[in-house]
Amino acid sequence: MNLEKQRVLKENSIYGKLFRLAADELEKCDIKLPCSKSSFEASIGAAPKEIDIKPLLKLKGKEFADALWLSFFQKLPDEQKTKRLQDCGQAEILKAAAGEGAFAIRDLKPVNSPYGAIKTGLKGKALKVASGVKNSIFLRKLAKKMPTGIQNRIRGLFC
Amino acid sequence: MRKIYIDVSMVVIGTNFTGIPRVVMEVAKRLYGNPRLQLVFLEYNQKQDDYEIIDTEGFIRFCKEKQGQRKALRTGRHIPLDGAERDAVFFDVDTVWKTRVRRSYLYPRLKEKGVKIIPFVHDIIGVTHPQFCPMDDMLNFLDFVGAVLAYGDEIVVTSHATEKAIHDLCGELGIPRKPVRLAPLGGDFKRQQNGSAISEEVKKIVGAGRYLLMVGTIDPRKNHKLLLDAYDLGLKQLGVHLVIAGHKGWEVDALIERMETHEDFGKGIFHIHAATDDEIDYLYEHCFALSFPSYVEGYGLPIMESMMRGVPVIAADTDINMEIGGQYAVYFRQDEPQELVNIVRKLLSNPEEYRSLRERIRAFTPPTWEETGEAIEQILSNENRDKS
Repeated sequence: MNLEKQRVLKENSIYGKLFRLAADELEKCDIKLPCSKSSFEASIGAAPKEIDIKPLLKLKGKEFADALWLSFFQKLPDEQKTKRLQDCGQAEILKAAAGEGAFAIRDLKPVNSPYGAIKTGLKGKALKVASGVKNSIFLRKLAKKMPTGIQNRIRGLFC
Repeated sequence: MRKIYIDVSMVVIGTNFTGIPRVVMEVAKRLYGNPRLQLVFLEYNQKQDDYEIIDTEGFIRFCKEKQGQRKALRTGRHIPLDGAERDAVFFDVDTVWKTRVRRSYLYPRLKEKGVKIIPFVHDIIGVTHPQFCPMDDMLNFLDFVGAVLAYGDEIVVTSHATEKAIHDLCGELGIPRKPVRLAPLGGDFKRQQNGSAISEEVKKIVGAGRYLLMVGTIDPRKNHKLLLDAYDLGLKQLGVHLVIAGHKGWEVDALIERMETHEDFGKGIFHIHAATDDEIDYLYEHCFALSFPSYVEGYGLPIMESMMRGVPVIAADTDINMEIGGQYAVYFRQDEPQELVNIVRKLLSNPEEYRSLRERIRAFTPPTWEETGEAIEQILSNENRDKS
């Protein structure tokens, strides 16, 4: 089976159904999944570095932002970012993603963007330098001894 | 000789070698040197967007010593992400859903190249009990499980409970069952006698009186709440303390507050945040029993560890707890703290029963890592699979 056929198979079946199962389980506990099935499915198969934007372009607003964050950073945008981006156009959302520290640190290269070249923001460039220091095993061991709140803040800074 | 590719990206950058990283290391050590297998350890290289080959001997040494320069493990030799050889096996045993290389991207490409895909699925809690997982982790895990079900040739699991959960999941998704192979984890972890001193704090807690021990990260899945309920419902009256040894995990602020503001915190309820291996040993050695109220587990290692030390286990009656604890543990119904209290009361009032429980546990023999390695070796080198 060629890759294209497999992609169609996966889009139509397993991932979406898994998402629905998890969403149903969460609902039993009164928890709502903060992203839609469409956003999740659009992010499936994203490459680690050269990320094809094309499958995401059918989405808009929050759904597009969620799919983009999942594809780029393997996480959803936090609440503040979600609020800020939900009414933005795709170009603006892309620009915001490119401004993230993780975009530069991961050296992401989006492809098939209809919005021209996507450039790393200044914040990203600075954090890329800092990430070299952060990734030191010694410093990470040290950070693990810090309270969870501080650890999360440091993590948040880099994405 | 069959080539086995193993992505160890998370272990190579890791700082904590318990849980799944520990399994990766034990399995790697057991597969190494097997004349039927040629191991190729890989780490994702972000700069070149490919896999860098990790020095095999160096990595095995690292698995044994759990320390050393990570840079020295990297050979400078690279292969494309889908560069595994045809008919080789890509064996995923690490926490690969946390790596940059999504399996929904990688597996179809490997499949296209004729590579066999054999993932080791430690559990599917992220699908069956997503409420116990951080949201982003859960979404990444769904990506992994989806790829496993779509492209995996065989799936390795550690327990019948996980095997059943995967079969049930296939049923719910309306897809054919995947072949699932069992490789129970070894219980014969080499207990390192580090000779580190037992802290005064730990000695004081042990000396304060009889206690139930709970070991593991504090998170909602482990259900520490039940222990606090049981304490208030009757353990306190029975003079049985609670000792909770584990790091603070995710979404437990309310529980921690309840514990730390409890009038008996530091007197009858104790929390040890960062116990050393020697201190954990010491805590097991002196406890009345391990209490394990967890809602769901991949394997339930504390049960195994407790029984290996001849310490009684009082656990929730979940499938996995009962599979691991078998006839050697005592069970209470999930979410019934009063039943836990009743069991403790019964054991206290009937010392003969408690003694016979301890006696029974002495007959327990844990599966060994050698056996785990042999089971996995058979799965990985099974050439009949490829002919069928």
